[in-house]
Amino acid sequence: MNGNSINATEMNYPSTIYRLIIFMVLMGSIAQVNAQSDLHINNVFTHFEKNKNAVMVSLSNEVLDDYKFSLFKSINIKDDASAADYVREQIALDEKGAKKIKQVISNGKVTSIYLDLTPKKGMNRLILFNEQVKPERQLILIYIESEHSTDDVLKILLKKK
Amino acid sequence: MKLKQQNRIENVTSEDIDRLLGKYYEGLTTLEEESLLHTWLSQMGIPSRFDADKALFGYFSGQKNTSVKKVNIVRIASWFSAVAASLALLFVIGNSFNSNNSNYVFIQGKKYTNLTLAKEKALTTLSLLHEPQDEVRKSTSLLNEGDKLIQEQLNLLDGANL
Repeated sequence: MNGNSINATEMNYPSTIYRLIIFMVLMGSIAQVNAQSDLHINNVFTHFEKNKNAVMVSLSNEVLDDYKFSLFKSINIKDDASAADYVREQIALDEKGAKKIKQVISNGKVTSIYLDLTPKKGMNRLILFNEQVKPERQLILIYIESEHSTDDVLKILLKKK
Repeated sequence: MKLKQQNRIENVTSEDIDRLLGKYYEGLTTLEEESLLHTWLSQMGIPSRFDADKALFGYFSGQKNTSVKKVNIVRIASWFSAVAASLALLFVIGNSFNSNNSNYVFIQGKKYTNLTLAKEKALTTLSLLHEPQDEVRKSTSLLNEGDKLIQEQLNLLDGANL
């Protein structure tokens, strides 16, 4: 009788450990699903989101039902020329393999670019960047994930303006 | 080991079994002796006076198997419930992560989770986007300004010739 109860107690420890391991593995996989993609422009959002001259927006899923987007991220930074250079660097890293929809170069620098990135997990991905110097220096960077084609996304955006 | 026990069983007499059963009912048997009893009683063709003992041992053996099956079912059920609970929890966590943690706005370093404010700021940023036509219009207007300058300079030249 005693032997049986010892066996039962011994069995409970590994069983609990296995359950914990399964739970952690599942947690890890979910976290990975929700993790930001491997794009370099994510550095811009994380680096400048708490900047005093910046306004950073992150919206996802049901909030964006009107637009049919699954993710919308934007950042607007004012009076920071070095930030613009940093954004340009990060975009240049993500540009490989992407389709350029629009590009404006002024004084040898990219002041505006729309990039159609290769789709990931069934989502079309779009990067929009614009820098203006007058009337005040400011840049905007937008990242959008959507099931819609990038052409449709642009039409929606420009219509909503 | 089995062979050894078989040899032992062959040498065991009914009297030995009687004596071992007596010890068993008094709770004095060793595990080896209980095993010997179990094996001996599970044999075919043993005297009918051992039927009651045989039934008793058979009953215990059956109960043991049922309890093992029960333990297995309980273990499988607990595994399933653990996995189901984990999935449900992850679904809830995932959903709340998506709907709450992914919807926010940082303004001058301060985080707000007010959706109306976040949407408003998103629309403000979108309004700053330049349409491709705007860029073409700008470039064309610059060209027109260039034309004007050339015309002015030509006019000046004409004036000088006069």
